[in-house]
Amino acid sequence: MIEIIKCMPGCTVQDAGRFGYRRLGVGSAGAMDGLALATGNILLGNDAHAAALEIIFFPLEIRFQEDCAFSFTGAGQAVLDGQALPGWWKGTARRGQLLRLESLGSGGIGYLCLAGGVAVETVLKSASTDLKGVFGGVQGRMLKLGDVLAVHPRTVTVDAGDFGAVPYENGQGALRVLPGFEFAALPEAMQAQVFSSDWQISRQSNRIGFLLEGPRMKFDVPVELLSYGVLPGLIQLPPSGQPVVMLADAQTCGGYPRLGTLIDSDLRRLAQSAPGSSIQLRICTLEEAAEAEASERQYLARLSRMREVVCP
Amino acid sequence: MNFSEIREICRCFARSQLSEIEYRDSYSSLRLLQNPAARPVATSPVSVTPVMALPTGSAAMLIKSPQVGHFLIGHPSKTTACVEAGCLVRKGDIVAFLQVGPLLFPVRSDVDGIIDSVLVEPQALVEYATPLFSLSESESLNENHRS
Repeated sequence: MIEIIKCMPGCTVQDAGRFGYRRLGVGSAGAMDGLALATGNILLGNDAHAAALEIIFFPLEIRFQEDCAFSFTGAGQAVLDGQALPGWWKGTARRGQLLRLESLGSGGIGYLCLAGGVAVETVLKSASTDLKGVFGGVQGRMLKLGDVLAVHPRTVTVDAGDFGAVPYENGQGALRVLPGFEFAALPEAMQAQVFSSDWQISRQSNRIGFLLEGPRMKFDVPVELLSYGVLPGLIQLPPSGQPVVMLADAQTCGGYPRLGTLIDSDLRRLAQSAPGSSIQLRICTLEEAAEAEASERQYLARLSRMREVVCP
Repeated sequence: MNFSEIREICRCFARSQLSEIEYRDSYSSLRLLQNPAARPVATSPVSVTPVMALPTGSAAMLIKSPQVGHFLIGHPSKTTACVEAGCLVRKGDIVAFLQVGPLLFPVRSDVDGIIDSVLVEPQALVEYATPLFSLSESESLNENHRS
């Protein structure tokens, strides 16, 4: 069991997401950086999709009410009783120890995994918090001071090894987009602008979507659409002319014109970018998107194999 | 394990800084011993400073590699090194990392002291017990110990 001692808004319990219910109007929720979540879980010998704490605003402080192995991946830094741990590391906490997760000043999302996985009631086969639907996680809400969370029975011994993961090399540069849908209806000059402009991530961004501020995009002729299904990564263009990239908590259907889809691997990079920072977009092919995904899967598979060797 | 493999292991062992290795699988077991003092000191292929150039005698303190891996002077997500010459380190401090595929292992100092020099190049593949850092005793630490 762990107790939340200090908590900023936005901290939730998330696993890999709730899939298979979109047609019923239930979104996926789930970790915005699934790779960081999976890495943290694999370090502990958990199921890669096990539920963990997603931290968007730091600091978070927790007290361990029992001995527990934990890992901290993604952005930020873990400090156990005043002792800083390296990034993407596995640690062992004793009962009564205080773990502080703090920002390294560059924004981003952190994942605190616990050996066994955070034990919350699963709803529709997932532990993820659906903030809009108010279910999953801890009563469908953000964590707050005084919350006590249990962990599932451990599958690994508390002291198994002192090691971490080499953070996945995300690559640099523009985020990759598969253009499509109503993109071709944009005037050509604006089509070019989508991929030549600096887009600033609005501070109004959240788990539902990231708002991109830059040149205003307008269709010559208004585009009227019937409602369609929405998935994370979809880039919508509302009448404001400022594109929105849908994220984990995206609604299940929408009606705004669409410019294309940000590929999953770069949707993680977008989610890890601090509001206020700038990004660029570039066109990519389906093959390139599949390659990026395969490379992530390879990284996780190698990590999992190597961990088995070290902690059989 | 066949004869040529055993011969190859013996060769590697003779070139290494190790005094003993033991290997076991379900079919065989192999134990090799050697007395490092009784043979010429070999230059480790990965060390930039030959081992012979290290200060000898009890005053020299070393941090040795706890295992095989690629030597990283700092964490891959940071641009700074864990320590550099002149840094005061305490027993248990992480002074470097060893990368094995996607895993990262810490090199922790087992003594208190001041880092004199880094003995291997970044990214070099180091063996078990390869000297990584030389240290000198810190006077202030000694005073602390006396008081």
